Amino acid sequence: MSIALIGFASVLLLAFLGVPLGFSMLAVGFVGFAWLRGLEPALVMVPQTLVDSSFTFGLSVIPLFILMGVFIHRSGVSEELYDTAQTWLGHFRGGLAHATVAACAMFGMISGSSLAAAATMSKVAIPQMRQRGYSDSLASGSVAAAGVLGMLIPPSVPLMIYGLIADQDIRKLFIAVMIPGLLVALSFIAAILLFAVLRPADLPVGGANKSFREKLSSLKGVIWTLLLFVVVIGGMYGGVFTVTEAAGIGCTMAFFIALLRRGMGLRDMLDCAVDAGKTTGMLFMIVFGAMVFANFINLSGFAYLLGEWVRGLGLGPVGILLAIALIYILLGCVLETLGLILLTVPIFLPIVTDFGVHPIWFGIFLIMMVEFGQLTPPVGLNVLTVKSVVHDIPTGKIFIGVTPFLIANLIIVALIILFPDIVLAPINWF
Amino acid sequence: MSPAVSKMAQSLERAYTVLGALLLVSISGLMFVDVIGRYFLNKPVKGAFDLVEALMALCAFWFLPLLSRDDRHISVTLLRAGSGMVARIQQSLIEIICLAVAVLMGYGLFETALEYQQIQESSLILGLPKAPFVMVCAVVVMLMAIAHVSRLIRILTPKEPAS
Repeated sequence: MSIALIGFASVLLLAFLGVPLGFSMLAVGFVGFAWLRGLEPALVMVPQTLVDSSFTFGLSVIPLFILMGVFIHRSGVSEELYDTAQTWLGHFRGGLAHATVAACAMFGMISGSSLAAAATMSKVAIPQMRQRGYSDSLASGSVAAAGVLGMLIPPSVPLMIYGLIADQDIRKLFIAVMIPGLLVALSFIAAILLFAVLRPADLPVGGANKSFREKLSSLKGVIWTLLLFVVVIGGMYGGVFTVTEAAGIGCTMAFFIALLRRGMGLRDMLDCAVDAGKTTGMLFMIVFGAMVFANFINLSGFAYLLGEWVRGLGLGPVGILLAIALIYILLGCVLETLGLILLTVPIFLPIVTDFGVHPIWFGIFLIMMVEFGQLTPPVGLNVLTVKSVVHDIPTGKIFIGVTPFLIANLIIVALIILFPDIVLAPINWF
Repeated sequence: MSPAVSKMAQSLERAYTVLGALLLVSISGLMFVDVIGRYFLNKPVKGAFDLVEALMALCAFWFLPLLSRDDRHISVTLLRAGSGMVARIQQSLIEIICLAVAVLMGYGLFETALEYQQIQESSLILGLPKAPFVMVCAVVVMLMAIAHVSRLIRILTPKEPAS
Protein backbone atom coordinates (compact mmCIF):
# COMPACT_ATOMS: atom_id res chain seq x y z
CA MET A 1 0.00 0.00 0.00
CA SER A 2 2.87 2.35 0.83
CA ILE A 3 4.30 2.21 -2.71
CA ALA A 4 0.93 3.29 -4.11
CA LEU A 5 0.73 6.17 -1.64
CA ILE A 6 4.25 7.22 -2.64
CA GLY A 7 3.06 7.02 -6.25
CA PHE A 8 0.09 9.31 -5.56
CA ALA A 9 2.28 11.77 -3.67
CA SER A 10 4.81 11.78 -6.52
CA VAL A 11 2.15 12.48 -9.14
CA LEU A 12 0.79 15.38 -7.10
CA LEU A 13 4.27 16.76 -6.43
CA LEU A 14 5.31 16.59 -10.08
CA ALA A 15 2.01 18.11 -11.18
CA PHE A 16 2.26 20.97 -8.66
CA LEU A 17 5.81 21.65 -9.82
CA GLY A 18 4.45 22.16 -13.32
CA VAL A 19 5.01 18.82 -15.08
CA PRO A 20 1.90 18.35 -17.27
CA LEU A 21 -0.53 15.98 -15.58
CA GLY A 22 -0.48 13.29 -18.27
CA PHE A 23 3.33 13.17 -18.24
CA SER A 24 3.42 13.04 -14.41
CA MET A 25 1.03 10.09 -14.26
CA LEU A 26 2.77 8.23 -17.09
CA ALA A 27 6.24 8.73 -15.58
CA VAL A 28 5.20 7.64 -12.07
CA GLY A 29 3.07 4.77 -13.42
CA PHE A 30 6.02 3.46 -15.44
CA VAL A 31 8.54 3.77 -12.59
CA GLY A 32 6.11 2.21 -10.07
CA PHE A 33 5.28 -0.68 -12.40
CA ALA A 34 8.99 -1.27 -13.09
CA TRP A 35 9.67 -1.21 -9.34
CA LEU A 36 7.06 -3.89 -8.68
CA ARG A 37 7.49 -6.06 -11.77
CA GLY A 38 10.82 -5.18 -13.37
CA LEU A 39 11.92 -2.94 -16.22
CA GLU A 40 11.13 -5.26 -19.11
CA PRO A 41 7.46 -5.86 -18.26
CA ALA A 42 7.08 -2.09 -17.73
CA LEU A 43 8.57 -1.42 -21.17
CA VAL A 44 5.98 -3.77 -22.66
CA MET A 45 3.08 -2.44 -20.57
CA VAL A 46 3.46 1.22 -21.61
CA PRO A 47 3.14 0.85 -25.42
CA GLN A 48 0.49 -1.85 -25.07
CA THR A 49 -1.56 0.54 -22.93
CA LEU A 50 -1.07 3.34 -25.47
CA VAL A 51 -2.16 1.14 -28.36
CA ASP A 52 -5.13 -0.33 -26.47
CA SER A 53 -6.27 3.13 -25.38
CA SER A 54 -6.01 4.71 -28.82
CA PHE A 55 -7.17 1.95 -31.20
CA THR A 56 -10.66 2.09 -29.71
CA PHE A 57 -13.78 2.67 -31.77
CA GLY A 58 -15.75 3.90 -28.74
CA LEU A 59 -13.26 6.67 -28.06
CA SER A 60 -14.23 8.43 -31.29
CA VAL A 61 -17.22 9.94 -29.44
CA ILE A 62 -14.85 12.30 -27.63
CA PRO A 63 -13.33 14.20 -30.59
CA LEU A 64 -16.62 14.08 -32.47
CA PHE A 65 -18.67 15.67 -29.70
CA ILE A 66 -15.87 18.20 -29.14
CA LEU A 67 -15.90 19.04 -32.86
CA MET A 68 -19.70 19.35 -32.80
CA GLY A 69 -19.38 21.88 -29.96
CA VAL A 70 -16.71 23.88 -31.81
CA PHE A 71 -18.78 23.99 -35.05
CA ILE A 72 -21.91 25.13 -33.27
CA HIS A 73 -19.99 27.64 -31.17
CA ARG A 74 -18.46 29.16 -34.34
CA SER A 75 -21.94 29.41 -35.83
CA GLY A 76 -22.61 32.12 -33.24
CA VAL A 77 -25.59 30.61 -31.44
CA SER A 78 -24.38 31.58 -27.95
CA GLU A 79 -25.48 35.22 -28.19
CA GLU A 80 -28.89 34.13 -29.46
CA LEU A 81 -29.28 31.61 -26.65
CA TYR A 82 -28.70 34.40 -24.16
CA ASP A 83 -31.04 36.80 -25.96
CA THR A 84 -33.82 34.22 -25.98
CA ALA A 85 -33.34 33.40 -22.29
CA GLN A 86 -33.33 37.12 -21.53
CA THR A 87 -36.59 37.68 -23.46
CA TRP A 88 -38.34 35.00 -21.40
CA LEU A 89 -36.79 35.68 -17.98
CA GLY A 90 -35.51 39.27 -18.09
CA HIS A 91 -38.57 40.80 -16.36
CA PHE A 92 -37.94 38.96 -13.07
CA ARG A 93 -35.75 40.49 -10.36
CA GLY A 94 -32.30 39.19 -11.20
CA GLY A 95 -33.67 38.15 -14.59
CA LEU A 96 -30.33 38.44 -16.37
CA ALA A 97 -28.73 36.05 -13.87
CA HIS A 98 -31.60 33.60 -14.45
CA ALA A 99 -31.10 34.04 -18.18
CA THR A 100 -27.41 33.24 -17.76
CA VAL A 101 -28.24 29.94 -16.05
CA ALA A 102 -30.80 29.07 -18.74
CA ALA A 103 -28.42 30.00 -21.58
CA CYS A 104 -25.59 27.94 -20.05
CA ALA A 105 -27.95 24.97 -19.70
CA MET A 106 -28.89 25.29 -23.37
CA PHE A 107 -25.24 25.74 -24.32
CA GLY A 108 -24.55 22.51 -22.40
CA MET A 109 -26.97 20.72 -24.74
CA ILE A 110 -24.58 21.22 -27.63
CA SER A 111 -21.21 21.39 -25.89
CA GLY A 112 -19.80 19.06 -23.27
CA SER A 113 -17.34 21.55 -21.86
CA SER A 114 -17.93 23.76 -18.85
CA LEU A 115 -14.98 26.00 -19.76
CA ALA A 116 -16.42 26.72 -23.22
CA ALA A 117 -19.74 27.66 -21.60
CA ALA A 118 -18.05 29.93 -19.01
CA ALA A 119 -15.79 31.62 -21.59
CA THR A 120 -18.62 32.23 -24.06
CA MET A 121 -21.18 33.46 -21.55
CA SER A 122 -18.64 35.72 -19.81
CA LYS A 123 -18.35 37.76 -22.98
CA VAL A 124 -22.09 37.84 -23.60
CA ALA A 125 -23.70 38.08 -20.15
CA ILE A 126 -21.34 39.87 -17.72
CA PRO A 127 -21.13 43.23 -19.57
CA GLN A 128 -24.94 43.38 -19.77
CA MET A 129 -25.39 42.47 -16.10
CA ARG A 130 -22.85 45.05 -14.96
CA GLN A 131 -24.45 47.69 -17.14
CA ARG A 132 -27.83 46.98 -15.52
CA GLY A 133 -26.39 47.35 -11.99
CA TYR A 134 -25.81 43.74 -10.92
CA SER A 135 -23.02 43.37 -8.35
CA ASP A 136 -19.71 42.20 -9.81
CA SER A 137 -19.61 39.13 -7.59
CA LEU A 138 -23.07 37.94 -8.64
CA ALA A 139 -22.56 38.75 -12.33
CA SER A 140 -19.25 36.90 -12.56
CA GLY A 141 -20.14 34.18 -10.03
CA SER A 142 -23.36 33.23 -11.81
CA VAL A 143 -21.53 32.81 -15.13
CA ALA A 144 -18.68 30.78 -13.61
CA ALA A 145 -21.11 28.54 -11.72
CA ALA A 146 -23.65 28.11 -14.52
CA GLY A 147 -20.77 27.10 -16.81
CA VAL A 148 -20.56 23.75 -15.00
CA LEU A 149 -23.94 22.86 -16.49
CA GLY A 150 -21.94 22.11 -19.64
CA MET A 151 -20.62 19.03 -17.80
CA LEU A 152 -23.98 18.04 -16.38
CA ILE A 153 -26.16 18.14 -19.46
CA PRO A 154 -25.42 15.61 -22.19
CA PRO A 155 -23.23 15.37 -24.22
CA SER A 156 -20.75 15.73 -21.34
CA VAL A 157 -17.05 15.12 -22.08
CA PRO A 158 -16.08 14.16 -18.48
CA LEU A 159 -18.98 11.71 -18.36
CA MET A 160 -17.81 10.10 -21.61
CA ILE A 161 -14.33 9.72 -20.12
CA TYR A 162 -15.84 8.14 -17.00
CA GLY A 163 -17.87 5.75 -19.15
CA LEU A 164 -14.77 4.66 -21.02
CA ILE A 165 -12.51 4.10 -18.01
CA ALA A 166 -15.23 2.57 -15.84
CA ASP A 167 -16.49 0.46 -18.76
CA GLN A 168 -20.04 1.82 -18.43
CA ASP A 169 -22.62 2.42 -21.15
CA ILE A 170 -22.28 6.10 -22.17
CA ARG A 171 -25.88 6.19 -23.39
CA LYS A 172 -27.10 5.12 -19.95
CA LEU A 173 -24.86 7.71 -18.32
CA PHE A 174 -26.32 10.42 -20.57
CA ILE A 175 -29.84 9.31 -19.61
CA ALA A 176 -28.99 9.15 -15.90
CA VAL A 177 -27.47 12.65 -15.78
CA MET A 178 -30.51 14.38 -17.28
CA ILE A 179 -32.60 14.86 -14.11
CA PRO A 180 -29.65 15.75 -11.82
CA GLY A 181 -28.51 18.25 -14.48
CA LEU A 182 -31.96 19.86 -14.56
CA LEU A 183 -32.12 19.87 -10.76
CA VAL A 184 -28.76 21.62 -10.52
CA ALA A 185 -29.94 24.24 -13.06
CA LEU A 186 -33.13 24.77 -11.03
CA SER A 187 -31.15 24.95 -7.79
CA PHE A 188 -29.01 27.71 -9.34
CA ILE A 189 -32.21 29.62 -10.19
CA ALA A 190 -33.34 29.09 -6.57
CA ALA A 191 -29.96 30.37 -5.32
CA ILE A 192 -30.44 33.57 -7.36
CA LEU A 193 -33.97 33.99 -5.93
CA LEU A 194 -32.55 33.59 -2.41
CA PHE A 195 -29.85 36.12 -3.29
CA ALA A 196 -32.62 38.53 -4.32
CA VAL A 197 -34.25 38.16 -0.89
CA LEU A 198 -31.07 38.39 1.19
CA ARG A 199 -29.15 41.00 -0.83
CA PRO A 200 -31.65 42.84 -2.99
CA ALA A 201 -29.15 45.58 -3.76
CA ASP A 202 -27.06 43.07 -5.74
CA LEU A 203 -29.88 42.34 -8.19
CA PRO A 204 -31.85 45.13 -9.81
CA VAL A 205 -35.52 44.70 -10.67
CA GLY A 206 -36.23 43.23 -14.05
CA GLY A 207 -37.10 45.08 -17.26
CA ALA A 208 -40.49 45.24 -18.93
CA ASN A 209 -42.22 41.94 -19.56
CA LYS A 210 -42.04 41.14 -23.27
CA SER A 211 -45.20 40.29 -25.18
CA PHE A 212 -46.00 36.66 -25.94
CA ARG A 213 -45.44 37.34 -29.64
CA GLU A 214 -41.92 38.67 -28.89
CA LYS A 215 -41.23 35.65 -26.72
CA LEU A 216 -42.34 33.25 -29.42
CA SER A 217 -40.33 35.10 -32.03
CA SER A 218 -37.21 34.91 -29.83
CA LEU A 219 -37.35 31.12 -30.04
CA LYS A 220 -35.92 31.42 -33.54
CA GLY A 221 -32.60 31.90 -31.75
CA VAL A 222 -32.67 28.48 -30.13
CA ILE A 223 -34.24 26.49 -32.94
CA TRP A 224 -30.90 25.16 -34.23
CA THR A 225 -29.72 24.19 -30.78
CA LEU A 226 -32.97 22.39 -30.05
CA LEU A 227 -32.94 20.64 -33.42
CA LEU A 228 -29.41 19.37 -32.87
CA PHE A 229 -30.23 18.30 -29.31
CA VAL A 230 -33.42 16.49 -30.33
CA VAL A 231 -31.73 14.61 -33.18
CA VAL A 232 -28.53 13.71 -31.33
CA ILE A 233 -29.63 13.15 -27.76
CA GLY A 234 -33.23 12.23 -28.67
CA GLY A 235 -31.96 9.73 -31.24
CA MET A 236 -29.63 8.24 -28.66
CA TYR A 237 -32.25 8.10 -25.87
CA GLY A 238 -34.78 6.61 -28.28
CA GLY A 239 -32.34 3.88 -29.26
CA VAL A 240 -32.25 5.05 -32.90
CA PHE A 241 -28.47 5.66 -32.83
CA THR A 242 -25.60 4.32 -30.78
CA VAL A 243 -23.54 6.98 -28.97
CA THR A 244 -20.80 6.92 -31.62
CA GLU A 245 -23.34 7.19 -34.44
CA ALA A 246 -25.04 10.08 -32.64
CA ALA A 247 -21.67 11.81 -32.32
CA GLY A 248 -20.97 11.41 -36.05
CA ILE A 249 -24.44 12.62 -37.03
CA GLY A 250 -24.29 15.53 -34.57
CA CYS A 251 -20.90 16.62 -35.81
CA THR A 252 -21.97 16.62 -39.45
CA MET A 253 -25.26 18.37 -38.64
CA ALA A 254 -23.40 21.02 -36.62
CA PHE A 255 -21.14 21.63 -39.62
CA PHE A 256 -24.14 22.17 -41.91
CA ILE A 257 -25.78 24.48 -39.35
CA ALA A 258 -22.58 26.54 -39.21
CA LEU A 259 -22.44 26.49 -43.02
CA LEU A 260 -26.02 27.75 -43.33
CA ARG A 261 -25.76 30.39 -40.61
CA ARG A 262 -22.31 31.77 -41.11
CA GLY A 263 -21.35 30.53 -44.55
CA MET A 264 -18.51 28.53 -43.04
CA GLY A 265 -15.89 27.78 -45.66
CA LEU A 266 -13.33 25.01 -45.98
CA ARG A 267 -10.70 27.04 -44.13
CA ASP A 268 -13.09 27.67 -41.19
CA MET A 269 -13.99 24.01 -41.10
CA LEU A 270 -10.34 23.03 -40.89
CA ASP A 271 -9.71 25.65 -38.20
CA CYS A 272 -12.54 24.16 -36.14
CA ALA A 273 -11.11 20.67 -36.65
CA VAL A 274 -7.65 21.85 -35.55
CA ASP A 275 -9.21 23.38 -32.41
CA ALA A 276 -11.04 20.16 -31.65
CA GLY A 277 -7.95 18.09 -32.51
CA LYS A 278 -5.80 20.00 -30.03
CA THR A 279 -8.39 19.56 -27.28
CA THR A 280 -8.53 15.87 -28.16
CA GLY A 281 -4.74 15.64 -27.89
CA MET A 282 -4.80 17.28 -24.45
CA LEU A 283 -7.44 14.81 -23.24
CA PHE A 284 -5.68 11.78 -24.68
CA MET A 285 -2.31 12.62 -23.15
CA ILE A 286 -4.04 12.58 -19.76
CA VAL A 287 -5.91 9.39 -20.64
CA PHE A 288 -2.62 7.69 -21.61
CA GLY A 289 -0.95 8.79 -18.38
CA ALA A 290 -3.93 7.73 -16.28
CA MET A 291 -4.15 4.30 -17.90
CA VAL A 292 -0.45 3.61 -17.25
CA PHE A 293 -0.79 4.92 -13.69
CA ALA A 294 -3.91 2.77 -13.14
CA ASN A 295 -1.96 -0.33 -14.22
CA PHE A 296 0.63 0.43 -11.54
CA ILE A 297 -2.04 1.09 -8.89
CA ASN A 298 -3.90 -2.13 -9.78
CA LEU A 299 -0.66 -4.11 -9.59
CA SER A 300 0.12 -2.64 -6.17
CA GLY A 301 -3.20 -3.99 -4.85
CA PHE A 302 -3.95 -0.55 -3.41
CA ALA A 303 -7.67 -0.53 -4.23
CA TYR A 304 -8.15 -3.91 -2.54
CA LEU A 305 -6.18 -2.94 0.57
CA LEU A 306 -7.92 0.43 0.80
CA GLY A 307 -11.26 -1.35 0.44
CA GLU A 308 -10.36 -3.72 3.29
CA TRP A 309 -9.30 -0.77 5.42
CA VAL A 310 -12.51 1.12 4.68
CA ARG A 311 -14.62 -1.95 5.49
CA GLY A 312 -12.75 -2.19 8.79
CA LEU A 313 -13.91 1.31 9.68
CA GLY A 314 -17.49 0.06 9.80
CA LEU A 315 -18.89 2.93 7.76
CA GLY A 316 -22.05 2.27 5.75
CA PRO A 317 -22.41 3.20 2.07
CA VAL A 318 -23.57 6.73 2.97
CA GLY A 319 -20.57 7.21 5.27
CA ILE A 320 -18.23 6.05 2.50
CA LEU A 321 -19.86 8.37 -0.02
CA LEU A 322 -19.59 11.34 2.35
CA ALA A 323 -15.90 10.55 2.92
CA ILE A 324 -15.36 10.32 -0.85
CA ALA A 325 -17.26 13.58 -1.36
CA LEU A 326 -14.96 15.28 1.14
CA ILE A 327 -11.89 13.89 -0.66
CA TYR A 328 -13.22 15.23 -3.98
CA ILE A 329 -13.83 18.67 -2.49
CA LEU A 330 -10.27 18.75 -1.13
CA LEU A 331 -8.57 17.29 -4.23
CA GLY A 332 -10.74 19.48 -6.45
CA CYS A 333 -9.00 22.50 -4.95
CA VAL A 334 -5.72 21.44 -6.52
CA LEU A 335 -6.52 19.16 -9.48
CA GLU A 336 -8.47 19.82 -12.64
CA THR A 337 -11.53 17.76 -13.64
CA LEU A 338 -10.05 15.14 -15.90
CA GLY A 339 -7.01 14.42 -13.75
CA LEU A 340 -9.27 14.10 -10.75
CA ILE A 341 -11.55 11.61 -12.51
CA LEU A 342 -8.79 9.51 -14.01
CA LEU A 343 -6.72 9.44 -10.83
CA THR A 344 -9.53 8.48 -8.47
CA VAL A 345 -11.98 6.27 -10.38
CA PRO A 346 -9.73 3.18 -10.41
CA ILE A 347 -9.48 3.48 -6.62
CA PHE A 348 -12.98 4.48 -5.56
CA LEU A 349 -15.15 2.59 -8.05
CA PRO A 350 -14.27 -0.95 -6.81
CA ILE A 351 -14.79 0.17 -3.20
CA VAL A 352 -18.21 1.74 -3.71
CA THR A 353 -19.49 -1.06 -5.95
CA ASP A 354 -18.53 -3.48 -3.16
CA PHE A 355 -20.93 -1.52 -0.98
CA GLY A 356 -23.70 -1.95 -3.51
CA VAL A 357 -23.44 1.45 -5.19
CA HIS A 358 -24.44 1.34 -8.87
CA PRO A 359 -21.52 2.36 -11.16
CA ILE A 360 -23.82 4.56 -13.27
CA TRP A 361 -25.00 6.36 -10.13
CA PHE A 362 -21.39 6.77 -9.01
CA GLY A 363 -20.51 8.35 -12.37
CA ILE A 364 -23.16 11.05 -11.90
CA PHE A 365 -22.14 11.62 -8.26
CA LEU A 366 -18.52 11.88 -9.40
CA ILE A 367 -19.31 14.50 -12.06
CA MET A 368 -21.29 16.55 -9.55
CA MET A 369 -18.40 16.40 -7.10
CA VAL A 370 -15.69 17.29 -9.60
CA GLU A 371 -17.78 20.33 -10.53
CA PHE A 372 -16.70 21.74 -7.19
CA GLY A 373 -13.10 21.72 -8.32
CA GLN A 374 -14.08 23.97 -11.24
CA LEU A 375 -15.28 26.58 -8.77
CA THR A 376 -13.05 26.36 -5.69
CA PRO A 377 -9.76 28.21 -5.09
CA PRO A 378 -6.94 28.19 -5.99
CA VAL A 379 -7.35 26.40 -9.36
CA GLY A 380 -11.10 26.72 -10.00
CA LEU A 381 -10.80 26.72 -13.78
CA ASN A 382 -14.26 28.15 -14.47
CA VAL A 383 -13.52 31.06 -12.16
CA LEU A 384 -10.13 31.63 -13.77
CA THR A 385 -11.73 31.47 -17.23
CA VAL A 386 -14.22 34.17 -16.27
CA LYS A 387 -11.37 36.20 -14.79
CA SER A 388 -9.43 35.92 -18.06
CA VAL A 389 -12.37 37.56 -19.87
CA VAL A 390 -13.25 40.25 -17.29
CA HIS A 391 -9.89 41.42 -16.00
CA ASP A 392 -11.19 44.17 -13.74
CA ILE A 393 -13.19 41.94 -11.37
CA PRO A 394 -10.90 40.59 -8.59
CA THR A 395 -10.65 36.78 -8.52
CA GLY A 396 -11.67 36.79 -4.84
CA LYS A 397 -14.97 38.46 -5.73
CA ILE A 398 -15.73 35.77 -8.31
CA PHE A 399 -15.00 33.03 -5.77
CA ILE A 400 -17.39 34.78 -3.33
CA GLY A 401 -19.97 35.02 -6.11
CA VAL A 402 -19.96 31.26 -6.78
CA THR A 403 -20.47 30.31 -3.10
CA PRO A 404 -24.31 30.27 -3.12
CA PHE A 405 -24.21 28.07 -6.23
CA LEU A 406 -21.78 25.65 -4.57
CA ILE A 407 -24.19 25.29 -1.65
CA ALA A 408 -27.08 24.73 -4.09
CA ASN A 409 -25.05 22.03 -5.83
CA LEU A 410 -24.29 20.34 -2.48
CA ILE A 411 -28.00 20.16 -1.73
CA ILE A 412 -28.61 18.32 -5.01
CA VAL A 413 -25.73 15.95 -4.22
CA ALA A 414 -27.40 15.22 -0.87
CA LEU A 415 -30.68 14.61 -2.69
CA ILE A 416 -29.20 12.04 -5.07
CA ILE A 417 -27.52 10.27 -2.13
CA LEU A 418 -30.83 10.12 -0.26
CA PHE A 419 -32.87 9.23 -3.35
CA PRO A 420 -30.64 7.33 -5.80
CA ASP A 421 -33.64 6.70 -8.05
CA ILE A 422 -33.39 10.32 -9.21
CA VAL A 423 -30.40 9.03 -11.16
CA LEU A 424 -31.23 5.39 -11.74
CA ALA A 425 -34.96 5.34 -12.51
CA PRO A 426 -34.74 7.16 -15.89
CA ILE A 427 -32.42 4.41 -17.22
CA ASN A 428 -35.45 2.11 -17.30
CA TRP A 429 -37.63 4.68 -19.03
CA PHE A 430 -35.74 4.53 -22.33
CA MET B 1 17.13 30.41 -39.27
CA SER B 2 17.21 31.75 -42.83
CA PRO B 3 13.93 33.11 -44.28
CA ALA B 4 13.74 30.28 -46.83
CA VAL B 5 14.11 27.58 -44.18
CA SER B 6 11.66 29.38 -41.90
CA LYS B 7 9.11 29.60 -44.73
CA MET B 8 9.53 25.91 -45.51
CA ALA B 9 9.09 25.03 -41.84
CA GLN B 10 5.89 27.07 -41.73
CA SER B 11 4.53 25.35 -44.83
CA LEU B 12 5.37 21.94 -43.39
CA GLU B 13 3.66 22.81 -40.14
CA ARG B 14 0.59 24.07 -42.00
CA ALA B 15 0.44 20.84 -44.04
CA TYR B 16 0.84 18.76 -40.88
CA THR B 17 -1.95 20.67 -39.10
CA VAL B 18 -4.31 20.43 -42.09
CA LEU B 19 -3.66 16.69 -42.33
CA GLY B 20 -4.58 16.34 -38.64
CA ALA B 21 -7.76 18.33 -39.19
CA LEU B 22 -8.66 16.12 -42.15
CA LEU B 23 -8.19 13.01 -40.02
CA LEU B 24 -10.78 14.27 -37.58
CA VAL B 25 -13.20 15.46 -40.27
CA SER B 26 -12.86 12.12 -42.05
CA ILE B 27 -13.93 10.23 -38.90
CA SER B 28 -17.03 12.41 -38.72
CA GLY B 29 -17.76 12.04 -42.45
CA LEU B 30 -17.20 8.29 -42.40
CA MET B 31 -19.50 7.86 -39.42
CA PHE B 32 -22.19 10.01 -41.09
CA VAL B 33 -22.05 8.11 -44.38
CA ASP B 34 -22.08 4.79 -42.52
CA VAL B 35 -25.16 5.73 -40.48
CA ILE B 36 -27.04 7.08 -43.52
CA GLY B 37 -26.04 4.02 -45.52
CA ARG B 38 -27.10 1.64 -42.77
CA TYR B 39 -30.45 3.20 -41.87
CA PHE B 40 -31.70 4.54 -45.19
CA LEU B 41 -30.04 2.48 -47.92
CA ASN B 42 -29.35 -0.72 -46.01
CA LYS B 43 -25.73 -0.43 -47.19
CA PRO B 44 -23.31 0.43 -44.36
CA VAL B 45 -19.71 1.25 -45.22
CA LYS B 46 -17.80 -2.03 -45.17
CA GLY B 47 -15.10 -1.96 -42.50
CA ALA B 48 -16.12 1.46 -41.15
CA PHE B 49 -15.39 0.16 -37.66
CA ASP B 50 -11.78 -0.73 -38.60
CA LEU B 51 -11.21 2.56 -40.39
CA VAL B 52 -12.58 4.67 -37.53
CA GLU B 53 -10.42 2.75 -35.04
CA ALA B 54 -7.25 3.36 -37.05
CA LEU B 55 -8.07 7.02 -37.72
CA MET B 56 -8.91 7.48 -34.05
CA ALA B 57 -5.48 6.18 -33.01
CA LEU B 58 -3.79 8.66 -35.37
CA CYS B 59 -6.02 11.48 -34.08
CA ALA B 60 -5.18 10.71 -30.45
CA PHE B 61 -1.46 11.25 -31.11
CA TRP B 62 -1.43 13.71 -34.02
CA PHE B 63 -1.63 17.01 -32.19
CA LEU B 64 0.70 16.08 -29.30
CA PRO B 65 3.84 17.65 -30.90
CA LEU B 66 2.01 20.97 -31.43
CA LEU B 67 0.74 20.94 -27.85
CA SER B 68 4.26 20.28 -26.55
CA ARG B 69 5.77 23.00 -28.70
CA ASP B 70 3.22 25.56 -27.48
CA ASP B 71 3.28 24.31 -23.85
CA ARG B 72 -0.45 23.65 -23.98
CA HIS B 73 -0.69 20.33 -22.16
CA ILE B 74 -3.00 20.35 -19.13
CA SER B 75 -0.92 21.45 -16.12
CA VAL B 76 -1.58 22.50 -12.55
CA THR B 77 1.42 24.82 -11.90
CA LEU B 78 0.76 25.62 -8.25
CA LEU B 79 4.43 25.77 -7.28
CA ARG B 80 6.02 27.22 -10.39
CA ALA B 81 8.79 29.75 -9.76
CA GLY B 82 8.27 33.12 -11.40
CA SER B 83 11.57 34.06 -13.00
CA GLY B 84 15.34 33.90 -12.59
CA MET B 85 17.68 30.98 -12.14
CA VAL B 86 15.27 28.87 -10.00
CA ALA B 87 12.58 29.19 -12.65
CA ARG B 88 15.02 28.16 -15.37
CA ILE B 89 16.15 25.10 -13.43
CA GLN B 90 12.54 24.14 -12.71
CA GLN B 91 11.54 24.68 -16.33
CA SER B 92 14.50 22.59 -17.53
CA LEU B 93 13.58 19.73 -15.20
CA ILE B 94 9.98 19.81 -16.46
CA GLU B 95 11.18 19.62 -20.06
CA ILE B 96 13.61 16.77 -19.25
CA ILE B 97 10.81 14.73 -17.62
CA CYS B 98 8.48 15.41 -20.58
CA LEU B 99 11.29 14.47 -22.98
CA ALA B 100 11.96 11.21 -21.11
CA VAL B 101 8.25 10.32 -21.20
CA ALA B 102 8.01 11.15 -24.91
CA VAL B 103 11.07 8.99 -25.71
CA LEU B 104 9.65 6.15 -23.63
CA MET B 105 6.33 6.37 -25.50
CA GLY B 106 7.98 6.68 -28.92
CA TYR B 107 10.42 3.83 -28.30
CA GLY B 108 7.65 1.58 -27.01
CA LEU B 109 5.39 2.32 -29.97
CA PHE B 110 8.25 1.76 -32.40
CA GLU B 111 8.99 -1.66 -30.85
CA THR B 112 5.27 -2.53 -30.93
CA ALA B 113 5.05 -1.55 -34.61
CA LEU B 114 7.96 -3.89 -35.41
CA GLU B 115 6.33 -6.68 -33.43
CA TYR B 116 2.99 -6.14 -35.22
CA GLN B 117 4.86 -6.21 -38.51
CA GLN B 118 6.37 -9.58 -37.60
CA ILE B 119 3.15 -11.21 -36.47
CA GLN B 120 1.13 -9.52 -39.26
CA GLU B 121 -1.33 -8.01 -36.76
CA SER B 122 -4.36 -6.73 -38.66
CA SER B 123 -7.87 -5.41 -38.14
CA LEU B 124 -10.88 -7.72 -37.87
CA ILE B 125 -13.01 -6.89 -40.90
CA LEU B 126 -10.79 -5.27 -43.54
CA GLY B 127 -7.61 -7.06 -42.52
CA LEU B 128 -5.91 -3.64 -42.37
CA PRO B 129 -2.31 -4.08 -41.15
CA LYS B 130 -1.84 -2.29 -37.82
CA ALA B 131 1.94 -1.88 -37.97
CA PRO B 132 2.02 1.18 -40.29
CA PHE B 133 -0.49 3.03 -38.11
CA VAL B 134 1.45 2.30 -34.92
CA MET B 135 4.65 3.34 -36.70
CA VAL B 136 3.10 6.69 -37.66
CA CYS B 137 2.07 7.17 -34.01
CA ALA B 138 5.68 6.40 -32.97
CA VAL B 139 7.03 8.99 -35.42
CA VAL B 140 4.52 11.59 -34.21
CA VAL B 141 5.52 10.95 -30.58
CA MET B 142 9.16 11.35 -31.57
CA LEU B 143 8.23 14.74 -33.05
CA MET B 144 6.83 15.55 -29.62
CA ALA B 145 10.19 14.58 -28.11
CA ILE B 146 11.91 16.94 -30.57
CA ALA B 147 9.54 19.73 -29.48
CA HIS B 148 10.69 19.21 -25.87
CA VAL B 149 14.36 19.17 -26.92
CA SER B 150 13.88 22.47 -28.71
CA ARG B 151 12.13 23.98 -25.68
CA LEU B 152 14.94 22.74 -23.44
CA ILE B 153 17.58 24.30 -25.69
CA ARG B 154 15.67 27.59 -25.64
CA ILE B 155 15.54 27.54 -21.84
CA LEU B 156 19.24 26.71 -21.48
CA THR B 157 20.38 29.31 -24.01
CA PRO B 158 18.45 32.47 -23.21
CA LYS B 159 18.78 35.33 -25.66
CA GLU B 160 21.34 38.00 -24.69
CA PRO B 161 19.59 41.29 -24.04
CA ALA B 162 20.12 43.71 -26.94
CA SER B 163 22.93 46.17 -26.20
